[in-house]
Amino acid sequence: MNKVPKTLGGEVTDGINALLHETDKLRDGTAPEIQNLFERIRQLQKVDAQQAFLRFGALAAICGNVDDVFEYYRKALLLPGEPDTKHEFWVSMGNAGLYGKAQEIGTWLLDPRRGFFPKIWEQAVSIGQVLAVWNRLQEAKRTYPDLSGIDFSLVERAAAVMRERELSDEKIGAILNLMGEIQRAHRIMYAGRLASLLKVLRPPEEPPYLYFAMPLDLGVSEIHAMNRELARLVVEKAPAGTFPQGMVASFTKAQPVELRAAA
Amino acid sequence: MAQPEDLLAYAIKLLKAASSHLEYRVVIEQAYYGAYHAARQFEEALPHRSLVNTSNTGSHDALFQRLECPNPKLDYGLKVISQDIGAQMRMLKPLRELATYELQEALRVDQAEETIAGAKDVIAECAKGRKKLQASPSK
Repeated sequence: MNKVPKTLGGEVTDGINALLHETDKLRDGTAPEIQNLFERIRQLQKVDAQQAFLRFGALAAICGNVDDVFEYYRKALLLPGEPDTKHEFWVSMGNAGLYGKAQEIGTWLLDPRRGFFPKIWEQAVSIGQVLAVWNRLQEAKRTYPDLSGIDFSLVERAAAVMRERELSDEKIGAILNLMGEIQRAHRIMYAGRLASLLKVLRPPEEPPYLYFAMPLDLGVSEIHAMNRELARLVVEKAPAGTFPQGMVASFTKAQPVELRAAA
Repeated sequence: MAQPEDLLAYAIKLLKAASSHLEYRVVIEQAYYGAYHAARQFEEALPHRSLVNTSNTGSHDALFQRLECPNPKLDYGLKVISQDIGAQMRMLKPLRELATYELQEALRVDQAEETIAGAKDVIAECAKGRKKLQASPSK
């Protein structure tokens, strides 16, 4: 999972981040510590409704309450502060496993003129926005010279495979969305800073493809059960009942380095 | 003569004594090939083979494409089993390719365990498919 950014500030944000620090498990919305935070946000709402909706959304996300996340997002967008709203909900959507919606918001945020590219590009790739990042990279490097020192070769290789296999960010997002459904059913967020770890595989005599491994802080048996559900969901819900050509994804056990990254 | 189940049993036996990434690589490969051969035998036994053109791809990807896109003449239950096996094999394939081709990767025990669990499921699904084929032979 990702921490709620510090831009939210204050006591409530610290409270939400403390919950995120404790566990990747989605929370029970009726638990006293959650209700206590909701009450504090209600108080905040009286003085700053937009900031309150951001926090309501963050809390709803870590409870896995999808409808509430969307509702708070809709309300926050009616108020001034669109960039902050989109950035905060981009994080919340990811924490709730709503990767397709996070992609949609990410497309807006990745425009280098908005100011978010340097801090979100890596997470954007992890939710399948490989081409969205790659297509804006040159402009982003002109806007943020520090980016020139970063190794983007993985993104370059991944983008090349996507062009070769006619794979889009949206097709990847559709599979990640199915993984989000399974995550919510198992009440678990991804572990660490990135929603998935991307690898570009080029096996001999086979076409190249992208492999997205989503790290979870769970035992192998539950991870396997979730992978089994993913195979079934792909058959039931993915277009043509298959993974799109050029990509595959699965859940994997988070390693200590990923868990440390979340701390 | 070896059966797919023998490869899986061998992988399970190897895992019991495995403690290094080199040994996990072998476990993953054996388990994957157990699943692969079971999937191939199942697909070859289908009364109507997939119509998808797989001439421009490798043998593993070709098999998965045929499983994922079964012949419309197959009965519904067999089609679902075929697609399910195809999706499961797709998910096992990267682990086998990391094990076989990506020498800089440090393969882990959980990846070996996941491959074995996946291979067990594929072999079980293939057995279910075989039973269905025996019970109601399609023309």
